[in-house]
Amino acid sequence: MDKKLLISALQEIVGDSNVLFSDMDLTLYGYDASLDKGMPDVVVLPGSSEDVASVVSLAHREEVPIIARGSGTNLSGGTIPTRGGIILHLSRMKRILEIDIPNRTVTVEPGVITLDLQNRLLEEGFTYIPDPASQKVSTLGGNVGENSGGPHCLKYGVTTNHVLGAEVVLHDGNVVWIGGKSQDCPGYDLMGLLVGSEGTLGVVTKMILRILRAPEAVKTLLAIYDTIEDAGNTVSAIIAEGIVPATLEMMDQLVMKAVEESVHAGYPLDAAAVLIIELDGLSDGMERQSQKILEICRANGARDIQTAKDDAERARLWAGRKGAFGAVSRLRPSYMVCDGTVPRTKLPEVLNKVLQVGKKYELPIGNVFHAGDGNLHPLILFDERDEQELAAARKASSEILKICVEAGGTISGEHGIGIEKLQEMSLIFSEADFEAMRKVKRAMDPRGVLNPGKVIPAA
Amino acid sequence: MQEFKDIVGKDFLQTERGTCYSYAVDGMIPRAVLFPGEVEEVSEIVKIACRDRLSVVPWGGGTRMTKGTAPSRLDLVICTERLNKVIDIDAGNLTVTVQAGVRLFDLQEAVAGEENRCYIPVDRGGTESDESVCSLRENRGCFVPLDVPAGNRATIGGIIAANDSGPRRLLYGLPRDVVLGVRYVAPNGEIIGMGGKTVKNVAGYDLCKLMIGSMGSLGILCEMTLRLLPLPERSGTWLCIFAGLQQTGTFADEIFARPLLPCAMEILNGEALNDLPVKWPERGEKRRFGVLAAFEGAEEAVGRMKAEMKSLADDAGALHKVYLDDDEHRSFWSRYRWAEADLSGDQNDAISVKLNYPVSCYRDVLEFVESAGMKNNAHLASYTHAGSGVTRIHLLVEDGSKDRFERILTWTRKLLMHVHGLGGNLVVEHAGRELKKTLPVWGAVRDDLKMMQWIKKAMDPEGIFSPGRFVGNI
Repeated sequence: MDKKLLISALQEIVGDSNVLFSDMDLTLYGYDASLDKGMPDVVVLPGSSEDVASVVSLAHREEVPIIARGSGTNLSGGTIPTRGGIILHLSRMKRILEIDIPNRTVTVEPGVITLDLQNRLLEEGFTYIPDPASQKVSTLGGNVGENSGGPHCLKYGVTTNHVLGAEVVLHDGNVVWIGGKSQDCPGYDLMGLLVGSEGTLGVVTKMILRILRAPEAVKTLLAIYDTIEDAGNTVSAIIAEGIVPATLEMMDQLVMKAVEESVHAGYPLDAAAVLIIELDGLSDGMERQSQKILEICRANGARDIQTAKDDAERARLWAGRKGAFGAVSRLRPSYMVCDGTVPRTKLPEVLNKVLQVGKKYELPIGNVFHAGDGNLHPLILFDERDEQELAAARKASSEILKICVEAGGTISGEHGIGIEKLQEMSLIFSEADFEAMRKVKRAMDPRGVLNPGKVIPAA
Repeated sequence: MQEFKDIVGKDFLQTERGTCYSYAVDGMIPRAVLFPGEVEEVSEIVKIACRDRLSVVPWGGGTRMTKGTAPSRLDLVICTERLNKVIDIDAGNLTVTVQAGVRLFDLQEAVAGEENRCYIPVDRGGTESDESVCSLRENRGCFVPLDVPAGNRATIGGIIAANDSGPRRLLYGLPRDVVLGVRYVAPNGEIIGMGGKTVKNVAGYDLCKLMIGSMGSLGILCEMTLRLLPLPERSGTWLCIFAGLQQTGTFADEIFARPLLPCAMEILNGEALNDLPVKWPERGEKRRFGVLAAFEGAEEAVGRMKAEMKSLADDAGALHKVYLDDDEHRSFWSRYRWAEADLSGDQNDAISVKLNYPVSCYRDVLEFVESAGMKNNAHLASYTHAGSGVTRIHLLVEDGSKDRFERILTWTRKLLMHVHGLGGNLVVEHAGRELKKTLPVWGAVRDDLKMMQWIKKAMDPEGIFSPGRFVGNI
């Protein structure tokens, strides 16, 4: 379809002011939080499910790629328009439609900011668990598309464990409800399939999310280490002991330094690594469990252990952790973040190998990650204007993912595949596995218009 | 048949009528029953089935084979009982990888380690003795957080394929929260692997979720990696008997309004109560309601829940209270039956249904069930997983009346319409063959059926896997 005709057809659906196509707008929608870039033909800001249905229907009819996105905080190129087409930015659909405390659900539109919902629920004494570090700006629709994780997913599971149902616009523009407020809907777990499918199987326009009562008690500890290996050993030991804290996060010296310069969280600058350990639940027995954790930390060489005395101190520790990616970008112009995940027992061994990769390519690597999940986030720092460094960073990243897979892990725990990790997919999947996934894709999107070229390598 | 014999060996291919009869699915008798010992053998069998368009139904422990509509055709039953290896227990990582034919209690025993504090009853041989031991010593014993009614026979593959769950899903979640990875044989015979040993994994589509609850219509589950949890330090259950539903609901809602974390809140009607292997005065009184409030965890937390629930029960007017401590709790729950998994498949005056609905509607649903008839000359036991929005009802009409089919059908439709109005649905989990033909086995059809049909068609284009057994006759 001619670009001008496409634009005027879209303007007819959503109104002139909700269709963007200036060079600047298109450039702004050409990237996400990964390194790649593209350029869409047009950006559309729908205001309702009907708008989305009409736009998708048009895209289907004209066979134009359509890429649904939220705030674009995703880290794997999943929202980059590699083949032009329509960007469907869902930010205007940001209503919390219902908070249903008796049924422990909320119904929201996809453009609601994750933290906005969480803050709103706290007023009721409830919480929506998945808390990606980008929660201040990320949208719930984006979280569902990417199956986002976050520090509190260790105990409670990731996004897929907290989504009960959704209104979905299918490839042909038809609108269907899957799942619902009731659990155990008969039939295939379509919701489970859709979560994490990165907008390649349908566009979610409403979501029913599970909420939980905010825990009665929370205790936050900071354990300080002189070597990163000791910190890694502690994580493995805590899990092996059968303790599953609410969170178990690790940060190394490089990251702490960057964080201190920007957030002043109060991390010790001379330490090699810290662990943020948080317990939650009933207050009864929490003291004894935290004593047990202290013992394990000490037995594994912790230099010092601090306890957050009040909410303010706890908030400061977390501000540092959540601002880590942003803070690190002060050190070098660019960073590439890996998302490899390994069985928790392999953590010390894999961390050590990651450090060696940094040495081999002479690139600084910072570590800030969900240690309790075995979900690493090595941040490779470089300058993308330096082509040699860029090439080295890509190689280092790929090598780290290989290390994770060799340790019995996977190439992405929560950031998704997008386009960035398409090549590494064959480290864990066979051609038969790909073909099984392609069958699903073809069934749900026979013309291949929904975010084409993502997640599954081309046949 | 010779080809199949070459794959599995002559001892593991049964074509004799007697054997085939005992593997009939809703009265349909397979031409052969195969017992493959390796995943590769399953793959080879399915390749031939695919080539010759033979229909295949997988079979685990056989405890859920009455679920689903009758197959439209049946050539082969593939029984997973020889795929019974526990491949990897990684207690340090809190995961276990097993083959599909491993029985739940065998797996619980294996992951409990040296420690005897586990969910395995000792009645596997049929004896009622209980040798499980409780101790507070430090241990690394784990359990698989799956909860089904016949764990001595149910296999892991079957539990996952049927998406089975029980009262303790309230705290521990559903199979979809427990399964981290699967290896299955697809309808073209290919072996497909998804997920793995990590608790987080977003590489590719989450086909694990599609396999869970797919009732053998998309693939034959061969291996699974499951999440483990550390065995709880202490546990306990209050059985509280109330005069009626209102007091029962008050008690349950008071607990839900507090930060307490029970692992099960099971509400039973009078007839279900009378089937319990627990004694209290006045047992046998049909009009009562009861709650099984169970909790597991740290010693201090269990102590507090025990005390708070006791006083809440008194406040709500409990007529009787029985407390089951650690050992009794474990023994009780491992034997607890909330569905008649052992009913013979041909009994035509019995039916088991599962209702699902938004979690707050349980009182409304129970009131409706009480008033929906079927109280006279019938045994109607209801088991409600309160807090999870699930009620299971077992109905037995014993009066031999001619119109009993018709009455069961009317009753089932009434229930379906009611829960559907609440945003829920109904699934018939067990019914006799004749009765089933007329029942809405998978409840009300929803808009998303077409997506399911697209997926089925793409993944099983020849329609050879469990044809006709799933939602919408997929």
